[in-house]
Amino acid sequence: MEELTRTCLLTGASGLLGTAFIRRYAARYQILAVHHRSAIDGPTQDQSYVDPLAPTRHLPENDHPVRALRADLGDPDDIARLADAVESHTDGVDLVVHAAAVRGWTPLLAAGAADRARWVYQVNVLAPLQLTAALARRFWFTDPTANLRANRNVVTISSTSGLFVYPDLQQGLYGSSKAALNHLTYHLASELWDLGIRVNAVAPDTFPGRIATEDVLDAIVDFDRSDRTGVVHRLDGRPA
Amino acid sequence: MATLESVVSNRAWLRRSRPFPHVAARNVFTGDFYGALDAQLRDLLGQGLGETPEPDRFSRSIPGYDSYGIGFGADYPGPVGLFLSAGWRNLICDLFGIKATPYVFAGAHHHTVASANGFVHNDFNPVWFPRTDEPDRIQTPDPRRCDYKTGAGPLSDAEKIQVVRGAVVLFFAGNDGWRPGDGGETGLYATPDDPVDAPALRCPPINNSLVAFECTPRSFHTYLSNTRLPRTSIIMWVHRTLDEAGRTFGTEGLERWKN
Repeated sequence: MEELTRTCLLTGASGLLGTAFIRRYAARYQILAVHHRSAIDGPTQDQSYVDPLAPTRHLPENDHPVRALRADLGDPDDIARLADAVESHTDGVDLVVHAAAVRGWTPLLAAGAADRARWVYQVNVLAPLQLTAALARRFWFTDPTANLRANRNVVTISSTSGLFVYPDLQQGLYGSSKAALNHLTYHLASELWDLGIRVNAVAPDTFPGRIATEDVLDAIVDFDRSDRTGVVHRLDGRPA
Repeated sequence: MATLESVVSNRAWLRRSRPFPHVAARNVFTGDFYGALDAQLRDLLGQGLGETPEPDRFSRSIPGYDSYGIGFGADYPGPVGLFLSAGWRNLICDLFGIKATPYVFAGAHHHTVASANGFVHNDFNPVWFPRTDEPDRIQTPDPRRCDYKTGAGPLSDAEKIQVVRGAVVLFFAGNDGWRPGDGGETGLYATPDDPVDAPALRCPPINNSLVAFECTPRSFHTYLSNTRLPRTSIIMWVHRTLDEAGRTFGTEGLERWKN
């Protein structure tokens, strides 16, 4: 088995994008896969594929298990516990993909919208901030040169709804949280510059459907391979 | 009857250990076979829902459980008969290391929108069947001769047998358009005291997917309320002998029926 040289912390790992990322890149990254109530859809330390018609047959699908870590990103205390768990499983994190998100679509004047806003902002905005800060304290503060050498970076998964207003789709909370995430990405890029950590965002239109999920994956890994920072990459099929 | 090799499309099912051992798979059958299963269930649902127990269509047949159920006899026609085939029984038994017996239950459950949560339970139940001495045949329950839960009926002691649910399969079909947030999942729990609405894991009722697990004292699960769409599933149990269940888990852990 080839040695996996880069460690990726992926949130939202049981979601559509997270699942696609693991399927495509489990052989390339050592993935720490963060999920909540839905299980990871692939091999982990606790699960593996079996052929139902030949249960003892070796399946190559099991060759690259990810390390599943369960956490509720709606709970700041759980994020602290997650950071501890990450530290116990790896010596370094080279790529962070903040793919976890909640939609929370609702009319802004609906009953309960304010409470829902706290949840949407916690998961979509504050969790990426809290987790990135926790990782910086545990892994990145001490050796910026090593960070540069390893080309360490953070990719947040935003949305074109953070760039444009789509009226009458009840995306007020979601869209404004993604707008905040975009601006947070710029500021994190600025403040983590001295640590040698790059921070960028991918802001896709609806996927799959208007945008192919594979294009979102390509954009994430393009950032990982690049030297760019402080970029929100709009992915909607229109000219940049 | 089609061979398993010709209808099982997904040859990589996911075996998980948390919160208790289970297997999950999507795209289980070929598109053609799934389509036929789906059509057969829709035909059954097209006969309407009975509010009192009826043997031949979905009806309120499970006391204390907010669903409409139907059981399939051993010679049930059409593609659902696969779940009553020796090959499928053996497949499920082999997945969980259970010694196959002839005793199989297969049926279907239908939950209309806003059906209530179930209660957390483990399915490690003793049940009754008419006894057969032919190990290769499939014997289904026959409530007219031998009540599934109590064994009551005209059969003599020598003509019936008490066995234990060994493993259960929940196969989802007819749930077009399901999406996260709709409910209707099967929740899996680490303990029986976990809140019903906070399972350790939610198994979504995605068409042509299944979840299966060995029935043990720790296989805590239940149905989770559906908010937007009905939910339909095929349910199937293989059974193990009382002796094997006792040797494996102890008879003191058996969940005796309360009603």
